Amino acid sequence: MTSEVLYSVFAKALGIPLEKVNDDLTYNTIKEWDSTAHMILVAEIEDTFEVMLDTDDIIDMSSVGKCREILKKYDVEC
Amino acid sequence: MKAVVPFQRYGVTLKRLEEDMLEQVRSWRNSPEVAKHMLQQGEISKEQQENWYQGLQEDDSRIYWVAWFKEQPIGVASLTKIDLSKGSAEPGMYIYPEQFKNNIIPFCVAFALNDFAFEELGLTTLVGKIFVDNEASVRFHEKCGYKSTSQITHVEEQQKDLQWYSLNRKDYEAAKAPIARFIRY
Repeated sequence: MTSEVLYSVFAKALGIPLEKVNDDLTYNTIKEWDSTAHMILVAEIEDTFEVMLDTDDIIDMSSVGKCREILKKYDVEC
Repeated sequence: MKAVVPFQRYGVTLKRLEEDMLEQVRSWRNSPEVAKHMLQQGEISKEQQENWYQGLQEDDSRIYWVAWFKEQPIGVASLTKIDLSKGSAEPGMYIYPEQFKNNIIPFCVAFALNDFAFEELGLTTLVGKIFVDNEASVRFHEKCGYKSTSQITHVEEQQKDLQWYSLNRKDYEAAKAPIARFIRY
C-alpha cells in the first residue's frame, strides 16, 4: 500500500480534495473531520486495509500521520 | 426515578451529577467552546450553579450525569423535559476534552444515554433541538437516527432557529448498529 491509498481514503471519507490531505492533517483543524466523519473514516480504513481496529486506536487516530503509525501495529505499511 | 446507580455501556459510565462535580461542570459549561452551543450563553456563577443543582433535587423531569471514560470525567449527559405519560424527553450532552470530541466517544455517550432513556425509563420518543447552523450536531443526530420534524423555534436572543428532531427506538437501534460494532471494549 502507498501513501496515495491512505490519502485517498481520508479524502473520500472526509469529503475533501486529495490535495488537502497530508500526514499533518489533524482532526481538530478542519470542520469536515467531525465525529460522524471519523466513523465513516474508520469504516473506510477497515475495509481498505482489511483490519479490525481496537477502539482505543479509533480514539487515538487524530491525524493522518497517527493513522499511518497505528496501521503499522496491524502490519499495514502505507 | 432518579438514576442513582451508575449506568455503564459502550466503555463509558454515566454517574449522576453530585455536588463534588459541580465546579468541574460549571467550568466546562462556561468555556466558550461549550457555551456557544447553549441556549443561555452567559457566564454561570457559582451561586447560580448551586441554585440550579438544588432545583434538580426536587425535579423528576430532569436528570444530569457526568460521563466518565477510563476513570476520567469527560462531559455531561442529560435528559430534560422527561414526561413519562407521553414517553418523551430531550437528551443533551457535551464532551469537553479535545481528544474525545471528534471520534467515537460522543457516540458512546449518546448511546448510553439513549439506552437509559429507552430501556430504563421506557420512553418512546427523544426530541433533539439543534441550531440550524450547527452542522456537526445535525450530522451527529442524523447518524444516530434522528429525523427532522416540521417544528422550528426561533431563539430571539441569538437570532437563530432551532430545528426540532425526533428519534424513536426502532430508528435508534437501526442507526446504532453500524457504529456500535466499532465499540470493542
